[in-house]
Amino acid sequence: MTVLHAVAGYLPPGRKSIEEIAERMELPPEKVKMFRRFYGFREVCYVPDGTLVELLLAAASALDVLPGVRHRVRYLIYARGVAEVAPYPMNPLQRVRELLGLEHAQAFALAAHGCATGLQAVDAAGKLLASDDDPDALALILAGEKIFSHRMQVISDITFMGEGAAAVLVGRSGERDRMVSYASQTYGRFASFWKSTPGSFSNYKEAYPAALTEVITTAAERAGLTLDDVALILPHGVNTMSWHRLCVQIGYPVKRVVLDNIAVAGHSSCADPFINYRTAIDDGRIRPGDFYMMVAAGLSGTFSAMVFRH
Amino acid sequence: MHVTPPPEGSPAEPPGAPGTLPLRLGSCRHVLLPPGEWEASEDDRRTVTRHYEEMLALYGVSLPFTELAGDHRNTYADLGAAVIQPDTDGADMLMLAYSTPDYDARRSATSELVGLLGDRPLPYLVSDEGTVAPFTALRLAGAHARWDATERVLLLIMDQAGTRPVGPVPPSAVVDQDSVVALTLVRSADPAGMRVRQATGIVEAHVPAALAEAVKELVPSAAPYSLVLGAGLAGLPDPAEAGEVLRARPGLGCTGAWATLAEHATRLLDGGRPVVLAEYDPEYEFLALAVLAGS
Repeated sequence: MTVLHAVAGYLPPGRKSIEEIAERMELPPEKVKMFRRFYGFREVCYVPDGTLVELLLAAASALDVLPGVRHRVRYLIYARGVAEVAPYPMNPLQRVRELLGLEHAQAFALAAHGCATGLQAVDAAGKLLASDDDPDALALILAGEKIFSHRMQVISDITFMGEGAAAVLVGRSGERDRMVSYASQTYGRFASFWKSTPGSFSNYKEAYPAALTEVITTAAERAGLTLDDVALILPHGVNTMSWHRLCVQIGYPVKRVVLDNIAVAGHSSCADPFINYRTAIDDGRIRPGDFYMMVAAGLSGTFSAMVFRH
Repeated sequence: MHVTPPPEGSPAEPPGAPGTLPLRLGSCRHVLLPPGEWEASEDDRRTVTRHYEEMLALYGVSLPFTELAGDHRNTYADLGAAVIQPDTDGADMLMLAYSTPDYDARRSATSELVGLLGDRPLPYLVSDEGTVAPFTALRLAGAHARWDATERVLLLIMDQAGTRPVGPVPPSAVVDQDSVVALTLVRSADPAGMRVRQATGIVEAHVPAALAEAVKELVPSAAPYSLVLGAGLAGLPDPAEAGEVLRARPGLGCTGAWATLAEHATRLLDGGRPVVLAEYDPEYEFLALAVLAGS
């Protein structure tokens, strides 16, 4: 059994309005209007002089329970959307391991699912822990990225990236937040999304609703549920419009999708579903016994959905 | 599509005892590639160059992109395409493990290779762990075989010489040639199974003792075993209990020990002796071992 032992979200205090970002990016005013009016963005987390180590440490520090369970952490997993985040041989993850006092933990990065890698890390952590001989062992997953380049800041016509982060402790047992199902599919034809291949972006946008619907319905089915049974969706924060459209398509009330953080944080790569979990818990929107679903898609062509019971 | 819990009809009980991987090694092959030609349009080249130069700036490194990754290189998508045999490499999981980064932000190597295999495999990319990343990939493969309906895994262990370090790298981690090892791993009910042990915080002086202890745990019988040592263990004397010791040649990064295994695979795996493969990363003080055959 895979259980979320604790979840923390971290939104850095540094914020930029999308207009400020747009000026740096030389985006035309009509695009900025589109992002604000239709896609729901107002500002994003952005700390130009902050480091990746600082960001991940801040997320881990937001986990109140970590000091008390540090000795039980067997795995430290950095789930990220882009494969390469530092010049070789610099290794921010191993530095974070040291600074967190987790020298005893095995630390590695996962990245194959783009912004859906956070969900893969939860699945992987649960399976690794279940294969070991220590029922009390935990895995600490960190998610969050520095938006270090122009190319990462605004992804085509769909999203503004931000520097939100999350820390998730995964365990094998417990009553709260038990993973019930997971569905994930990767399509190789979207592997070159960043490449200037004619039509690649429009093809991705065209395929996106059906691909996401497929994993959402499959995850619900594997959990023995209908979408009506899912109290809340904790989505990746690509933009609000795509969620409004998808909800119409799948017949799910958009008010049960946590979209609050898109306006104030932007799309925080793999961290979004976990940041949204924190928002939902803090607002009392998930009650004991509720089923909820984390949903994410990666530019690498991966679409994933994961059902939990609180 | 990858689903958890697995579809109806999958084995109800996970095979293998705890601590073992319910997998056997199906095949193992190694390919070395001469320097390739990084292909990019002028527009892509400008975009990629700016992207990585901005990344370097975040770390206070002022270098042109060409000093980070040259034009004469093979990306991991290139290396994977060179070794994958789509007709016979069908798999439920495709795993990439490497120690040197792949600076081509335009595309996802894992997704591209998943496409070569008909979009069937669940992709994994394991990195940031120095030269022991392949051992973690093995454990992840075993965990999926234990708890999912995973029947077959294709693990690609790669490193590329075109990635230029911006700081010192341990001699054992140096990569001077583009190298890829493809392992096919097949679900197995063999109770012995494959076994992997990974230890952290092992300083170099303690490596011989830690290795001996781990081998004793993994190979309980007193029978001699074959030992394949990665470049991180180049200074280790031959253990007395080993019937045979094979050593990786330096310059192949995390692929070295696996390349040596591939070179001798037929003889080693059919020899009836336990085959132990070990690697040590002195930078991170990680020691990793895998028993791939025998008990």
